[in-house]
Amino acid sequence: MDDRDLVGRARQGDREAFSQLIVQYQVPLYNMALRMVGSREDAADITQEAFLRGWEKIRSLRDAPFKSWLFQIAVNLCYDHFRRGRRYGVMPDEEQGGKIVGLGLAMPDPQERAEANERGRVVRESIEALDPDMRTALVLRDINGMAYQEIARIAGVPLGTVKSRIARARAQVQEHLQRNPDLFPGAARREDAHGD
Amino acid sequence: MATEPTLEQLSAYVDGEVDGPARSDLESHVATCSSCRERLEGIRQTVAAIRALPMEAPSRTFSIPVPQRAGAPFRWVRAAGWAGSAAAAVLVIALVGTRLLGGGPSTTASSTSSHISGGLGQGGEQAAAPAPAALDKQAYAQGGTVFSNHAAVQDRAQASRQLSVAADAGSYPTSGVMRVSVILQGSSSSAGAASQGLRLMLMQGGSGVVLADPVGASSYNGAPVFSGSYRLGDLALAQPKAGDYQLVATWVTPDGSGQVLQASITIRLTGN
Repeated sequence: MDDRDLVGRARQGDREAFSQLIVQYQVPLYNMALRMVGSREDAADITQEAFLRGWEKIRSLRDAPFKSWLFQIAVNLCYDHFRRGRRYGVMPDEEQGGKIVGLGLAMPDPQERAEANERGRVVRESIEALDPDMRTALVLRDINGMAYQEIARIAGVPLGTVKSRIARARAQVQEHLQRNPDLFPGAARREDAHGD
Repeated sequence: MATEPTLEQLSAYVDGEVDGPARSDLESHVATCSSCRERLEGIRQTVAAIRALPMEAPSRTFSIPVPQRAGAPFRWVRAAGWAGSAAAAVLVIALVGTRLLGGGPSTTASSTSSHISGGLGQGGEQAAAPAPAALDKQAYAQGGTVFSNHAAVQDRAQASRQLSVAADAGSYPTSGVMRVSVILQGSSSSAGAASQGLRLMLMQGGSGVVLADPVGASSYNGAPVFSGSYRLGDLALAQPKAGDYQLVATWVTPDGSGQVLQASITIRLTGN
């Protein structure tokens, strides 16, 4: 059963259909919010609110893809979060507070685990340092794996703007990672070799 | 390409968002320009570092509020803050870790013991999920196949309702065949899997593929048992296919409440 069937039923008030959509999208939507706002609690609040608003407004959804529409709601909530002056959340180490999806094996080597945590911390810091527009584009692309066209639809900007934001965001992240060559030896290359 | 590719072009190229002649030009240039190769590699390494951030499972469940008045069409009340809507929660997702049955095929504990768990908490706290009733070995041994990798979840609102999902191993080659068994305890229906609101997905990193509906195979203490055999090489999984996945079973319970039970087990694919 694809989105269209479920959305069609949900638009008729079918709670089961919308619940299936929640199951389907809760992990990617939560992780988008998590990387946008940095705090698990805030990300969960935003995710819940996005589903609630989605349910309330789903009858107004016409031809737009449900996924883009839902993510747009959540992204707008993230912007509301920033406008309220909420700080980027301080994330504890992944292994201390989060439930990791898709990792069936624990890394056996404590040192390797510690280094992975440290790399994660630095990457999260670099994402936090981005302005909201660039962060949105980067997160939708590199965390959620969305195509540029889909990101443009969610962000409500032209494709070229998406391309530019993703490129600049990655350059800023790379610059941040380069300050930690021990952790990111591969990123320690001169991005601006040709001075774009 | 007569001119150096811009940062935007290189970044878009990494994402496969440059097509046609522009792509050929860029590749031709990069093949002869060590500086651009270095820039490209830097972007790739950066993207890899970002994508190495793990996908997390939320520690809460998400729900939509129940109607204020049963049967009142399209008049939905807004919960007073979602965290306070425990009584109104209609989505219950509880994922429990799997256990290995003794005597099953050899699978490593690590490949079957790390799962999304909890998910029933409010306000960030995790309430203990009710322990699913233990199933005996017969439940996980059907037709000569032992389903050693399994998980079960019990409905908090109705203890007799339980969803169990099992596979005949924890690890498969990417060209192998995965046998799956699902038991819908609390259902007395003989309808098909889809009609009963059962769906199987193989997930990785928050996305995945929906598996073909398993078919009714037998019964366990009166509950329908569904099974399916899936050629992993035929599934439209992203490359590389090898890696750890979650086999997720969702059951939208048939009482019209919209309540969902979800159980998952870890499946490791090896090889290419």
